[in-house]
Amino acid sequence: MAKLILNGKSIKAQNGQTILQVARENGVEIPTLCFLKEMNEIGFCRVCVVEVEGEKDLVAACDTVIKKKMVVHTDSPRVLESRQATLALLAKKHRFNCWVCPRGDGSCEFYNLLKDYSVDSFQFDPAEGRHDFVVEGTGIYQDQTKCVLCKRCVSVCNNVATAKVFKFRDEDGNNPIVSPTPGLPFDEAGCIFCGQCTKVCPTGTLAEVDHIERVEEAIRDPKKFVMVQMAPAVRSAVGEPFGYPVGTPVKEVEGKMYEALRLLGFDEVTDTNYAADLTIMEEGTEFIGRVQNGGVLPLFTSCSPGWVRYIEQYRPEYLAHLSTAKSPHMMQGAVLKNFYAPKIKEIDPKDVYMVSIMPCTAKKYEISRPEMEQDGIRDVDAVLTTRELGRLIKKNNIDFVNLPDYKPENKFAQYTGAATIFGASGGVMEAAVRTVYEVLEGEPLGSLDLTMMRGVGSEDQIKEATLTLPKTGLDVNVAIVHGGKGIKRMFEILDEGKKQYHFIEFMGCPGGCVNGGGQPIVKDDVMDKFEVAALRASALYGSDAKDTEYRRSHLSESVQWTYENWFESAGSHIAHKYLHTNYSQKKFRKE
Amino acid sequence: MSKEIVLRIQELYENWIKDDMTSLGSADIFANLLEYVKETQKDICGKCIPCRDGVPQIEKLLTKFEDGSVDKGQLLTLESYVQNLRSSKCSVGIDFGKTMEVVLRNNFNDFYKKVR
Ligand code: SF4
Ligand code: SF4
Ligand code: SF4
Ligand code: FES
Repeated sequence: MAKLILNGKSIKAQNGQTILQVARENGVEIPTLCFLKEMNEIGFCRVCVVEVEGEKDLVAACDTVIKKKMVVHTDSPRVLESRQATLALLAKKHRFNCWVCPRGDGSCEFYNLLKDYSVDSFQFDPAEGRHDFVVEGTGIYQDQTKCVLCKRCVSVCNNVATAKVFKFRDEDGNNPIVSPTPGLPFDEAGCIFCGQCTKVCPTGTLAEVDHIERVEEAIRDPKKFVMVQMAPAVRSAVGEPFGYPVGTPVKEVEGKMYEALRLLGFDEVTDTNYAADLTIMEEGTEFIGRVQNGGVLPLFTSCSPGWVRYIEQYRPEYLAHLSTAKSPHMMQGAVLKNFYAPKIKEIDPKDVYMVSIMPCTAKKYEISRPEMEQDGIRDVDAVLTTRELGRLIKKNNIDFVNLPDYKPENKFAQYTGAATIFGASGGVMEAAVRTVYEVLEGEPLGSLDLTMMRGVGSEDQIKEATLTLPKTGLDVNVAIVHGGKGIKRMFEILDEGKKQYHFIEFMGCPGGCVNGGGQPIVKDDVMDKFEVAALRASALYGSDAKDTEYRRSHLSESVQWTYENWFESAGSHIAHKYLHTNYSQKKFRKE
Repeated sequence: MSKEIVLRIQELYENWIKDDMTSLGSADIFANLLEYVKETQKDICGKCIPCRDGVPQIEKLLTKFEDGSVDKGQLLTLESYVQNLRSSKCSVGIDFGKTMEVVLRNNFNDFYKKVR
């Protein structure tokens, strides 16, 4: 325990705490820019400076540990002037175009600081930007004119994604840059497009590649039949940009989401949840086949394109383990374009434009994979993140909060609870087990709530369970892995070869899709990422338990109908043509 | 008010004793300072804002003083960036700032003369 004086008030604090921690605990706000709790505590930006009596220099609150009897001022004129000067210096190296910036929606931390500290534009020249180019990519991009060199992306890519794409480079002395390998787009620099960096960037420097424009163009085109689908996890957070709290029950926003999409001008609203059920049929069948025929085990799930990129780039020797099933929204696109449109709507697949609303930035990359088409028909044409959907709804002046509920009637918007939980880490495995158990054992599981598969799991972000199939005479070992940290650890375990698994769910993002790189941003000083993931996941699990008639994918009437009419059976030849894909090693260069 | 001025003079005096840069002559003062900035720039690590982005701005302003084309706002800005070096992460920025503080005080006339 140490006593100190903070802004004239005597307070007690734990030894070893920083000034920032003590201040936050006592409700005193200190601005930060580079700081990310336990992730990026580097003291670079100096926006958090405070005055300590007896010291001539100002100190950074985020990396200065308190001392007994310290007298700290967080808002003295000297402090305020320094913060203002520091921010003005940054502003001189920033190109402002907030009105078209991805963070121009009020979520830009830099903009908000300039506002809080009344940094007037006379304090900066016509802003040129630190560097004048954009690092391109198919999932994310980096606009170097806006970078404040806070290094948050470096830390998050190293520690959360474990892809180590960014480096703080300072070759020419006073003109540093944070970037992937110079001269290369993200696609060739080892990026998995998880988008976790886009959520911590305090500015609009790092963002998802914009697909809003092409979607608006398609909607305006009278010749195009524009269909839309949204991933399970989208409904766990779609209300957040409109003021709904994190973890709002699905029931409260799902109907409004469908209605908003209808109002935006989409010709047909469908739901990726339909294809999530379809995925369970395909992947489950593949799993049973591999067990019965001595195929390559453990089987790895393949619905997270960030994860798929991870294995293709970093562990290609394991590619044979990856399920060949496409991810749900790709299946949905293939079914809608190649079957629903020509056979039911009598529309030429060439005139169909497929838009996916996803919690994910890697999905933008995924749709560009050359394998994702049949006979010249691309599966999906555009991907909007949950954030982009929020922006599009606001741009069109749609009053989301007061919208009536709408429920699309078509078969491709019907789903079971097993599909909804895909959005949370462990959800795909839980859904798969519910179906695989019943198919093999001939009777349903005792309880459908496989709670050991939910939540964060071990510190390594891994969950494990053994499922006994008494009639089949098999103990199935499953594991659930989320985030780069978990993926890395799981490969160590697999390399050791001591543990035998049958089936492993992998998700590129920590917490699963609910915490995907395209989800609304919740600042880390408001809520920790796993807390966010847990709340959003509980919305999905709640919907599974309460809102849906069926909770097992094989009971989906739409899926059954699809097999009866179009695909014969799961894993059939024609199912393979449209619903499965292949993988290959992807090269990258890091410098 | 007068007490504050006394304190400031005392501080100035202490610095005067400690720091030999204070004896800068008026002749070529800006050229000398620009030389000094160049030397400092070699040590800048590029991590913190007050120093990395501040020193180049100070250099820019000093060049303007050398050219003889400044206004009062620019003098105030120069002072503010110099003061702000007290928020730097390491001694490269802090020490450069301290020296500049003393120069600004003790050679204030040389700076003020340039203001139109
Ligand atoms: S990063 Fe922030 S300040 Fe910069 S243009 Fe975007 S919204 Fe404006
Ligand atoms: S998207 Fe993920 S892998 Fe790519 S740079 Fe960002 S954090 Fe790293
Ligand atoms: S890209 Fe964003 S997170 Fe990375 S250093 Fe620049 S401003 Fe910071
Ligand atoms: S937040 Fe403390 S130095 Fe950046």
